[in-house]
Amino acid sequence: MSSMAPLEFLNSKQGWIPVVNGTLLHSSVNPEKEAISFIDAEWSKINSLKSLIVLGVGGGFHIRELLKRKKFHIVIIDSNRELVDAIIEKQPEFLGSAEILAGVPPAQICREPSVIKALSGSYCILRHPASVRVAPFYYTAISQILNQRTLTNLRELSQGNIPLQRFLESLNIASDQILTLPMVEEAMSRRQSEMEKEGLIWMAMRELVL
Amino acid sequence: MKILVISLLRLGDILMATSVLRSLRREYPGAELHVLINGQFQSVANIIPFVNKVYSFDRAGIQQILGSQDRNILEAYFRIEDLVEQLQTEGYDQVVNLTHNRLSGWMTALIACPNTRGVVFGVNGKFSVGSGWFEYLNDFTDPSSDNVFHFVDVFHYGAGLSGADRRIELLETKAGAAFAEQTYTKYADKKRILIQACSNENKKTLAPKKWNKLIRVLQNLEPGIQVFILGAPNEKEAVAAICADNPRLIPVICNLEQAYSLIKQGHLLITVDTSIKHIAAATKIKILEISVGSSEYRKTGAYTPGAVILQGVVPCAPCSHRGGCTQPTHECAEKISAEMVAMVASGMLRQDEMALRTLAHEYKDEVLLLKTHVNSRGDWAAYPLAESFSAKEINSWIDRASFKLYLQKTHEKAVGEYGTEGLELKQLLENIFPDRAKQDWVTELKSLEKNVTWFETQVGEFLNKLKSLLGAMHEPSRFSQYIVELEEFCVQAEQSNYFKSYSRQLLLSIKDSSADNNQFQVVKKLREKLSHAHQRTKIELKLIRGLQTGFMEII
Repeated sequence: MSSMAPLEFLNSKQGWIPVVNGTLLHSSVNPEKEAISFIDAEWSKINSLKSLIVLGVGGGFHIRELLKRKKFHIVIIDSNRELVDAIIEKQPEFLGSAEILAGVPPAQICREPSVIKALSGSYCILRHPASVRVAPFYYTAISQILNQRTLTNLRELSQGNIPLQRFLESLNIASDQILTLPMVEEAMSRRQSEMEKEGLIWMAMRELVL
Repeated sequence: MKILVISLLRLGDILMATSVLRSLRREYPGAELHVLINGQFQSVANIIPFVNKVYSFDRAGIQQILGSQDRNILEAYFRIEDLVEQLQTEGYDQVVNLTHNRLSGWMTALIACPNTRGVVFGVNGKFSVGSGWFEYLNDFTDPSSDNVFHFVDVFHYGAGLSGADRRIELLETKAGAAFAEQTYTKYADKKRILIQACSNENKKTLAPKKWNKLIRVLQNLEPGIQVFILGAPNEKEAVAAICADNPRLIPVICNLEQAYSLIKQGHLLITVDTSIKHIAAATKIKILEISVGSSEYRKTGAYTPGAVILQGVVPCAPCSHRGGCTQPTHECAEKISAEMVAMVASGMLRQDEMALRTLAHEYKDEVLLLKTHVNSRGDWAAYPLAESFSAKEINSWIDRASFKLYLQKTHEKAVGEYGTEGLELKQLLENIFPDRAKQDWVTELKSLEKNVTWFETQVGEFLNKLKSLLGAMHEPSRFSQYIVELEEFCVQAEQSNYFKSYSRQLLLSIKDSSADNNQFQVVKKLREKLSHAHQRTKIELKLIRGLQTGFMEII
């Protein structure tokens, strides 16, 4: 983890820009414009979603841009506790508008209530490029945990959605198996029970990859 | 009342669905109408009328998640669940699914509305369609069959709608109108010819050189025209390539709303693209549709009367949407010559029906030239302008009309609609063969009646024999003998010019029966096919006799 990485702040016309290990986390010329372009590029992918899991707080420019556009449920995961503390001190309004998890070990991330809440409805993981560049190993580990398709992991991730969790349990698939859509379809036909809403959604997903 | 219309296929399908939307608005003036479409076509929402709310399904986004190993499968799950929750909250009184595929069937099931039309899956995983018209989409996919109906008609009847006005209708936006005004400022005194030369599939268009030649010939034939080459933003390069060697052409890169306004104020559209054609069908512009590749004019032709369709005469047309052209050369496009298209366009501008018929005869071996027709009941057809007069050709149209009446379950109604349908059919046949003497009609119809009567009697007898076989299921030899006789009859019917579609269906059932060990199931399936053929031929006979009376009255 890079929580010990040297942290400095550069003052720009538009606010403080963190510099971690000599790497600028935003454009020093126009960080707001940079944040707008970043969010513009992602917007079609995220605009209809409820929650966003943002990897990297940076200087918060991209978070502010997101909040300007829509009242998302935002969970920020950052490797650098020192940076997060400094950002909260400089921009205390973040505390009310986003949940921030600083330096949480990847193995623990799925147990965080804010993450469980985010994973109970539509969400997307947004990677702040400069932050990820500064601590690639941490964010890769976090991504792997959040994206792992083993049944155990999916059950853990879906704690906030009881019917989905029950559905996954009803499939009678080995916990260490990586879940695939044909596997779910087959397991559902083995159950020989009426299809519930969750089952119908998996069937719709199945059609999308046929 | 709240109604949801689902259209989860391509842009052209959404545009065709506007016909259903206008009928629903007419039948339920106070209802709230919502649509569910694919997210990538969200921009069409600006020009769809009658709709209170547009929901979009992020098909591409969800597919991207599912196909990517570094995204969680639950991301996709929650996106669908979110949409489903929103749709369920609406509490729809009726859901009309105009998308005939499994995905839409699961989505319709998820909305959990008790009143649905179109494909819907049950909790047991089996699907139902709620109308014979949607069943038809499932069962009758034989491309060589004559019984192909336009999707607008199938949607209309399948949704249980009445009324004859099935026009495609769109909204004009201020931005679109302003764009058209600006584009046309200098050309107010010219006849504005719009050409949509690009399509989403390469096999659905002509070679750039052919377009160049076609336009030059047309400019020579019609000096008072101005040609505009239309294209979407992603077609900019292709449009520029067509315009490169011809300084008199105006390239126009536009979005859907701009395209609609441009077309609305144009005089003639020449198009290979389905969506642009449907947009044009919502206006009064003359439409010349070049149907190549996978373009199936019988299902998706310009839904307006008087449009002209050209299709290369090749056995592989229309081909499947999937994959590229399977032939060594793009044969269906090569058959359509630049000169012919230009001359047809010129004939249309001059409203010269005779010229079109002459061209249709002249190019008969290479190109099928058809004209669209919408009868007073609202049903669409595209008829050839150079068809040979024969009982076989007459029969193919009677067969199609009888199928429509069958799907409408006319035979189950106390009062049939044979008379009205017969009148429409008579008018259509007279359009196809305008110069035939009434006596010729009567002669051909009499010959047809004889053949259909024979077929109807035979099928009736096979039905009766099947009934008696039910009491003798313990004697397998009797059943085998029955199958042999039925097969012989089908082969005989296959050789005639009139009953191929029935015999093909029956032969398929016989083939399936050899693989099925459950004799009751086999009998059930055969009975269904025979009953279908029997009912249909009865309807055909009524139509034939009605037509004979109609022509004899004139004599």
